[in-house]
Amino acid sequence: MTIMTNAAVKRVPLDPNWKSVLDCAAPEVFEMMAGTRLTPFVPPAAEPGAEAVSQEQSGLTAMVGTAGALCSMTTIRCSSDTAIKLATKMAGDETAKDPNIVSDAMGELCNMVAGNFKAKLTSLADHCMLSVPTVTSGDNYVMQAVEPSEVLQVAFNFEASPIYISPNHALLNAAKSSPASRSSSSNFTH
Amino acid sequence: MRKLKILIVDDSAVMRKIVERALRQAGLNLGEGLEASNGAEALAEVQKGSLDIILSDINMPVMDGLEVLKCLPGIEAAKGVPVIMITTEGSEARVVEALSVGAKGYLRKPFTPEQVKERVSPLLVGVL
Repeated sequence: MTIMTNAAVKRVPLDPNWKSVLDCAAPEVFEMMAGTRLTPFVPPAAEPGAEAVSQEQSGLTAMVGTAGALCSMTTIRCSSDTAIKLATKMAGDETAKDPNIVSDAMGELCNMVAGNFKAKLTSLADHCMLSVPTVTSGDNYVMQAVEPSEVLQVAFNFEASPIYISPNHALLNAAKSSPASRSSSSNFTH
Repeated sequence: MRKLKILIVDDSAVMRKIVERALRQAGLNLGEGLEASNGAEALAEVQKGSLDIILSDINMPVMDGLEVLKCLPGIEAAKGVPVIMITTEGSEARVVEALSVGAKGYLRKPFTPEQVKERVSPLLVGVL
């Protein structure tokens, strides 16, 4: 298959209407693959005059890159406890046996959310590819895009804990290649 | 009714577990679970023979699912063993490529046990 990661690919701008697609695509994956129904979560608004919310994160973040018509990084972020619960639902008792299973489960969920999201958008389905998943875990880490980007975020409740899902879309000049588009084809071989 | 020998190929242990569970939930009488985490391991399992069907991910390290499909015609034990590809991609081109090199069907993640049954059962008519 030809991988469309060069400047000739027509870049698709992030459409705010895609939020409703993500609102549908993400819970579908969790319901079908983890047997759990997510409900919408509204993050609490900061009090007027309060300090800006820290960008430092803890828990676990799974990431899957998209290259081609859309250059973005889809992330799923949740607490470690939530990740373990999700992995247990997906893999059963295997979770307790192997610590890598939690990362594996979160990476697969992120991969399927990104895939399901793009499959629902005809402008993306055949025009971009997904990377293999990467999972980061720990405390007080910060996710930063090198390129200027815009984020479409949705949040859901899973057993009273929030799960944040967002495609972080690089604001690219169509003639300029991005780090994602320079990636080797072995990283985008779906 | 004899137990089915189904090979599940995926680099994710979680996905292999989910596929196996979906097959059991779909009412298929599975025997001992046969698994491989990449195409090379899958080919080694295929050479042992007597498989009823193979369900394989496309994107895997070492050897991907499409390469497996291309190797199967050269393996005597793989003759007549249907292969269903499992993909996360919504890309029609990728699916067409898999079908053109011998896949009998495909399943897109996420999937339900019913969808698994719809794809798998027609290919096991002579076995079930």
